[in-house]
Amino acid sequence: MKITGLKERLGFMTALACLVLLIAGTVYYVFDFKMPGPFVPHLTPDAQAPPLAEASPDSYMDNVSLLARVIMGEAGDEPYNGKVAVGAVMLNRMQSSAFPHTLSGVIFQPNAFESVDNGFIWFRPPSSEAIQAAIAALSGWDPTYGALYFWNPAKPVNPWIWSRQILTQIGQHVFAL
Amino acid sequence: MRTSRSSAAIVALAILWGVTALWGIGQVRAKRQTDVLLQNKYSRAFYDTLQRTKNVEALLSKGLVSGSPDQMDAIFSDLWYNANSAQENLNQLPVSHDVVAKTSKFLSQVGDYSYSLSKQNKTRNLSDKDWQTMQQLYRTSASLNQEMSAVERAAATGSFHWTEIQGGLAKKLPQGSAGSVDNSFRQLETRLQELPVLVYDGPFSDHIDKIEPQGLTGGLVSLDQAKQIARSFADLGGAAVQQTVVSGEVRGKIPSYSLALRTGNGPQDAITINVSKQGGHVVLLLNPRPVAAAKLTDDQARTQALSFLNSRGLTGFMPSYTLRQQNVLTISFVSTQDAVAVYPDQVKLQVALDNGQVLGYEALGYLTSHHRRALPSPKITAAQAKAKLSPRIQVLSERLAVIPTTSKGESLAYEFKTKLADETFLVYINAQSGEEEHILKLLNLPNGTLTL
Repeated sequence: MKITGLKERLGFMTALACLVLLIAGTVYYVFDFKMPGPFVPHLTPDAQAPPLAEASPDSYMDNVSLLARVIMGEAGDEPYNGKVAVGAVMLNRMQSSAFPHTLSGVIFQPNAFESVDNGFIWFRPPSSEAIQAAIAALSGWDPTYGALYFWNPAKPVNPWIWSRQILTQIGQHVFAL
Repeated sequence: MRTSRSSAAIVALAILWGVTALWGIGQVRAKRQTDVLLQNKYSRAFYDTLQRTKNVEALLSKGLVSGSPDQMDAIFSDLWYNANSAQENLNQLPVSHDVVAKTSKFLSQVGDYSYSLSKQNKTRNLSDKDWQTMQQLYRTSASLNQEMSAVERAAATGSFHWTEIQGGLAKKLPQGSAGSVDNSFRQLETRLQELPVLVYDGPFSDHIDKIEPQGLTGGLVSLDQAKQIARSFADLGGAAVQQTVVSGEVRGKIPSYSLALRTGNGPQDAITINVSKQGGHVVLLLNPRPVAAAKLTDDQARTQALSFLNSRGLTGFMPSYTLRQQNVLTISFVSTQDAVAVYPDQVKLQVALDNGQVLGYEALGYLTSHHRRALPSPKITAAQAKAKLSPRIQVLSERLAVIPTTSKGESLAYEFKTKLADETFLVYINAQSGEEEHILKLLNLPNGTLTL
């Protein structure tokens, strides 16, 4: 008797749970069907970093904010000179015949930068140090003296990259020509 | 009772399954749509590249046979446009860099070379050397197009799919496993193994990589000497160096020691300073200290920067452009020789606007190009040069300057600061040939001056 009661209660609970799931699923399906659809990056405003627009009302600052985002995505946990170095690599690529000749071309080249390919640059707002690094790189500071590639030797990379002439190592990154 | 409950559960499960299936179908559709969008985007970039490289080949061959100077002008500007467009589209394809790097370089050089010939009016009367170079480029472009057509066949017959690389991306692409898109392109790169060496007056010319630094005077310095130089060079802003750490070295054009001066334990208490092994010159200084507020004016900061340079034995500089960002003033200083501004020899400084501390110093370009120049005496006078200016502009000031050319060469020119309506321009007239070499537009922003 006791056992049957427990079984019955179990069965009832299962049916109830299914019903709840069913209702929840239907509500989700009907009202929110589009939500998990195409991935749209949302720009997250950064509370700490001073707004760039305020510091400089001109449109020539687009480069700073774009470069700062990629620096944050690629070298967010690197020391300051490592951040400047990553920014300098992007700018050096513009001067190289083997790469696109615009900053946006370099940054958005498919398979060029992991944080651009996986969209992380749109989720991690640049710190003020990343912005400062972008400014330094755009003003001509280059701790690598002309590097075109950088990678983290601790992570798996295309073996081809090791054929490049290594110039220096800053933090976790190796920089090469 | 029990049967009706379990059948209710079965029905509920069935409906749940149905809902999930519908949701899944929606997801698959959305993914397919995104795939198609990407496939179209990449196909467009590929077919654009294909069309442009075909145009490049045709134009190069036309340039070889044309006898009309006017026609040649048009051919070379078309070449420049088509080669650039091909390069741009090629670099939008989802392939690994190593399989398109050479093709990309070839297209950059064809465009750049055509542009430099047009700019120097050399297309109207093509020299034998340039004609032979064009023939070489033509042959290379023909074999490039053969391979491009092979890739096109592979794409058209469905032996690879542009979007397949997206799957690889999730697994982090550069793991050594090249996708079939990469494989289709690899032949292209093998074909271009022997690119002609191109030396001409343009930024992508092959001679640029071989430029040796000229400013590294003095003998080799030891690591201890370099540490000493670093400590006496850096502006510590009142702090004391607790530790001088060797963080590594930089190889390449100017072999240097890379040092870190630690003034505290925080991550922002380390000043990076690179000292060249030859001569012990400071190549670069970076201080990550954030600056909270601006108390100094630009003029005060400029004075601070000049006295910093002078106290470090760097004399003969005059400030040129400044930009104020994040409470830091970036100033570039131009070197002078006999009152002539030498633009290739510039150092840049960053001054904190709260206390005037120098947070950044950059002399890579300066150490690469600085030397005592044998300045030629101008063949034309300032008045003659002025007569070459557009009569529509008003001249504010003039001086002699050494300016860099696009291929890292130099020329002596008269620099005229001129005005048209409210806008300021710097116009450079070559002091030997009287040609207008360059125009810079000065943008006076609230936070400094930019040149365009």
